Amino acid sequence: MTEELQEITLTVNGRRHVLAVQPRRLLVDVLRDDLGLPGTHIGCEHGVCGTCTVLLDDASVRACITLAVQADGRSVRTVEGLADGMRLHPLQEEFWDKQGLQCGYCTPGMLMRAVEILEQVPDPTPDQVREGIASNLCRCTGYQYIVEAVLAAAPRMRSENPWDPTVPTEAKA
Amino acid sequence: MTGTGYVGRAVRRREDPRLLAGRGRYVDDVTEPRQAYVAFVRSPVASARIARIDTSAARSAPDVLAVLTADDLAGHCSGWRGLLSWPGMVAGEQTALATGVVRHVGEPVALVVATGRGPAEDAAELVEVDYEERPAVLDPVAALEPGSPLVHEELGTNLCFASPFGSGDVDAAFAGADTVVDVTVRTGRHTAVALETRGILAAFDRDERTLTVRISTQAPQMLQTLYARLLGLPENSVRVITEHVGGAFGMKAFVYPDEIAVAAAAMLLDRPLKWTQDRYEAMQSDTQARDERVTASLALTADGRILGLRSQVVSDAGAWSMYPRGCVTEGVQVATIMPGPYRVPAVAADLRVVYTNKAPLAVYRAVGHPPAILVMELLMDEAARALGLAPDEVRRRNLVRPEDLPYTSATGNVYDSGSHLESLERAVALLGPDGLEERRRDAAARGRLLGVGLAAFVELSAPGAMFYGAKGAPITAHDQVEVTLQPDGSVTVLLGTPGQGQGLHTTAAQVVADGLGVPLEAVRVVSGDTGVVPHGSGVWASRSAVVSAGAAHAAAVEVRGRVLALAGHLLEADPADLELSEGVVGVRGVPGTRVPVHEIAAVAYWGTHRLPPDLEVGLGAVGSYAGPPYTFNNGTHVAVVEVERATGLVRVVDYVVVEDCGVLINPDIVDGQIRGGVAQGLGGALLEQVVHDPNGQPQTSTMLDYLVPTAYDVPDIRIEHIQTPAPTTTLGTKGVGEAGTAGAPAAVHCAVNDALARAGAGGVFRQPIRPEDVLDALDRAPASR
Repeated sequence: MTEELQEITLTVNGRRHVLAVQPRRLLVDVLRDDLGLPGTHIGCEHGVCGTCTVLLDDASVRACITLAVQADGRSVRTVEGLADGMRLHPLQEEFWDKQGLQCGYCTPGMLMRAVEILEQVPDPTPDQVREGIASNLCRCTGYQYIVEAVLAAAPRMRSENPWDPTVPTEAKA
Repeated sequence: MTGTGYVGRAVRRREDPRLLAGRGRYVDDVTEPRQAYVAFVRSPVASARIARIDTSAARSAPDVLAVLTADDLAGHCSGWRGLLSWPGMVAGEQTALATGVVRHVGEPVALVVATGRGPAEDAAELVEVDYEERPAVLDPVAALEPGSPLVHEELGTNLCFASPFGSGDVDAAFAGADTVVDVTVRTGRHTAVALETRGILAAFDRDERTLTVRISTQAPQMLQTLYARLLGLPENSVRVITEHVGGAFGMKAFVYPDEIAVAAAAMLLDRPLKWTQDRYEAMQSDTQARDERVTASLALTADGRILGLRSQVVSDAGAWSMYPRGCVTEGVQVATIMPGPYRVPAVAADLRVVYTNKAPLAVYRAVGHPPAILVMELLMDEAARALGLAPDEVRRRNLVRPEDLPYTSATGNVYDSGSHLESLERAVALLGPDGLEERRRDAAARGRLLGVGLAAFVELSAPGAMFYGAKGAPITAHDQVEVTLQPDGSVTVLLGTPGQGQGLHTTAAQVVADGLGVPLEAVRVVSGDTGVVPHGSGVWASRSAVVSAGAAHAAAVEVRGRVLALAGHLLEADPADLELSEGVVGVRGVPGTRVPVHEIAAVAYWGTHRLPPDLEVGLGAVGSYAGPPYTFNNGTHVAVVEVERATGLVRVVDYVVVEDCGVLINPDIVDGQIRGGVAQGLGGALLEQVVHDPNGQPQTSTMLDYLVPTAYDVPDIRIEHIQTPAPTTTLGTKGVGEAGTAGAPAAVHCAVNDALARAGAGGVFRQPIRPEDVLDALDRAPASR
């Protein structure tokens, strides 16, 4: 079953990687095992639960049913690319503040899906957020706090002073 | 605890920044040098004798290191029986890999070790197994008929356990009743669907003869004891590491055959081995739950007072009694929790737990409560209809009242405190009954039937040592927490229980900061390594806010006492006159004397020459919890649903929870537990069911087939708290992790039946309530209505 390796170029969180992969290798395995980015988790391996969601050229894909060779020459964003060092992205901060996570396993995929929603619809209604994240399963939270977190992050992401990691935000109570 | 400290405050969870950054450490995220990968060969049939296994093709496949079967592990891993000392309970002997017989689809038969996961899975397909199929036993009632095929021939029966429960003269209650109502209810077979599948990374150090197991589990210390026992190692040579766990819900509280097979293979092959379960394996081999067939009747007076309750419960245990908790807890709780928050003077429950050729049934969030509460609440609604009373009124007339407390149920459960009636009144008020008629008309204009469902419940939480331990399982309640004040005034907390997202590091820090008298930021919490932390029984049964927090408080108070004794010497004051708060020692009533706690601690570590020889200088203490046999939280849920007449689809449009879990350590964390719990209960009511074909093949082996709630299915939930402190627990806490899941299936179900009744249709008495069940009920309604 050993197959010939194929050379691909992936730009992941802004960094370019040239890799040799088996054509059958999944994008999620290449991210986790070859590039050492285990923040993208695997939930169902058949494209249903959304846990492995990453952005491929700014559109969400399920990395568990995407072949790495399909991402050749393209740009991938993962949860590891959201924060700037210790400074969290507004979505990460609002998920923290609103308790949009418990076990944290669905969280990276949920965050990347939320990034896509807010990039496409910068000022969403609660229903748009609820329907938007229905693509991703969470077994812990019951979703309400996730919806609240995404809604709270929206104005921060579309503000005229876009999120700047060098400016500290006010510490929360 | 007063309200001035950290307990009671919604501080942000300290666990979260790492998880939000994608820097959690779940089992599959960690890799060992020399690590190889395991893939399993699993039974494709529900019942068969294994006639032959040929591993030769797999052994010679590329990158394969070994192929092991039961014969290879014999002598390296003992077998076990999932027995508890319930009178008459029987269980077959189980081995890590199936020995001679397979009893459910997905049972592990052989394992393949290769240098990569892909080659291991490829080679697993080359293992040839000849199965001599037998008729599968699938219906637990038919399984008790004479002549039924047997799941375990050695037992001579499919009956795992049978027992009556209850007390009081039930025959007299029914003979004297003005009204008797009855229901026959079937609940769906669930599985937990933790988003992180099970997994293990096992490494054996052949020189030290130590086994290190990194595993996704709820009960690391229990696994340490049992792995040591089954693998023939001293307990001090087994270390279980559990960092982050991506959901568990009761399903990860066992010795699983596949997991211990990996550990045994790692020892045998002298090579670190990783196995990460895939979802297909999870749907076949994770524990399942809730599959109950219940017939129950309720005897009442003409004015709606309950006289007695009868029930027959048949619990479908699947093929194995899981080790070590066994398979009967679910059924026992269905039988004994059923009277719930109501005054039921006489109860006669008859439980039978039956083996079938399915994946094992075991504990799952709110063990047994959802079917028990569902049956009781359906009976209450039937009684309301029979007597012409409003659903809340018939409940009001029967709920335990403050003057009844402490109340002992006819099944022997003691409710130490609570707000059973008040929670109902507050939930009805929070729903806003005045607006309901308008909401009904609005729904009707959109072709939908509005229904309202009530569920008043109690939830048994924080069970003590008698629950499992006294019945022979290594599961106890005396969890321990170690608190150490460091020389610089910082505090280290070693927590026996790691948790799976319940925020236990945060709540432990809150409890210790208050109990010791230091700022929250000074406290660092460590858990997840049995080589480091003290004893604990794991995270299950809504216990951590009681048991773990109680132990943390005990340790903190002990250290505080030692600090004050030292300070008394150094300040030449009576320790009884000293106080320690926010990291500063002061003399009561003397404003000028304030000494930072680090100055005291520094003396205890490095300046002991300043102390008399008989003074205790150690500033670390292990606290343990020794509480009551259990406590109970209580509450009332109200669900509002809309049933679409044309399609039978049900949507939950409003949801109210009034919960009394005693003292709240962190209100946000409590609300998170309730919301997530309700979502899981809603899934049980409307979506979730493991389905088998007539040969025992699971038909729900992907997440496309087994439906769990999405954001679109779960409404916003309105929550109010009543805080009746538990009189018997350290902090007055009662635990809450399962309360949402306990009440929701009944509230949602009663709401659907209310909507149907308003259209003149009879109710549905199975879960999940599928659209076709709703349409059937509507079709059967008399046209005149």
